[in-house]
Amino acid sequence: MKLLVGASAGGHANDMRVLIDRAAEFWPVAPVAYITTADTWADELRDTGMRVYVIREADRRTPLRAIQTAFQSLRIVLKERPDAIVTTGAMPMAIMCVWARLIGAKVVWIDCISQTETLSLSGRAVKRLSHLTLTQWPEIAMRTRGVEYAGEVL
Amino acid sequence: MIFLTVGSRYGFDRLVQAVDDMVGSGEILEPVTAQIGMGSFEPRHMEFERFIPGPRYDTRVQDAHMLIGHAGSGTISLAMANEKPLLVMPRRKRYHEHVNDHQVATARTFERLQQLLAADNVDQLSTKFAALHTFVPQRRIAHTDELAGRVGDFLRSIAK
Repeated sequence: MKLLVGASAGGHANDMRVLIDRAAEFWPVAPVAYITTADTWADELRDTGMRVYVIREADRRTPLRAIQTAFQSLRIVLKERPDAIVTTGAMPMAIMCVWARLIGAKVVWIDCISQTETLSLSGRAVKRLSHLTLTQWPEIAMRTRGVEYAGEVL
Repeated sequence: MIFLTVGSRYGFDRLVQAVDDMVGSGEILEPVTAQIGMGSFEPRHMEFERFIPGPRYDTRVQDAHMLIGHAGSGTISLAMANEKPLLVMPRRKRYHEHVNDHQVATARTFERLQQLLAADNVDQLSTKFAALHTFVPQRRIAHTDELAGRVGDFLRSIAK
């Protein structure tokens, strides 16, 4: 099984860093590649043997950049052909989840720890196509259908 | 030393300028270093960099005895991991500081859990900063293994 992981810079990447630290112990396979939006930790991640792709940052205020980001992530998905993708957001990773789903990959969305009261907008969108959607706050899982709580990174 | 960080994605002039003013007026006596991101305001009373690469960023956090930052979860996580007192001010959509106001909820939630102190706006920074000197964050147990384990169970269930 070929696994991709993805996280935007900032809190999302921090969540993913914590998960990757535990991947060897808890996941059946190691991720082959990591997609992010800034190279703050790129060197350290490359040291773990993953291919690291840095795509453009985008959010709902920058639709043109989001299109660029979408093309970048499409190219990565077509090249890597993952069987599964695990991501903590945000919008650029939500777009990647769409591509991954279209080529038949399983999608795991973990909503960022910063979303303490409601699921993120990206999370709500990806929920429709993901195979597992996790929140890190039990209260959100209790009142959001199709969303599970299993633990948190902090 | 106090470390001021507004994360790596956007600037946060409102906070950076307020803290710079507090150093300038002598309200903050310790030296402050800052990561100001893409902000347009350049501090006059403290050392700053725009982006500090990951490993050096962690060192900066470890060397500080107090942190001031935006209510981003990366910032909160580092403060908690290093058991540093943290004062946050949430980014607001109305000042174009983020895409929405989720940082208000983040700040409120982690303040309720006694992990940090939160100032809603610049007017509250002074009193909250004074309180930060005696603030001791609560220890918190995260169910990180359980979260990683749930993802692992799912991956095993789909493995071919």
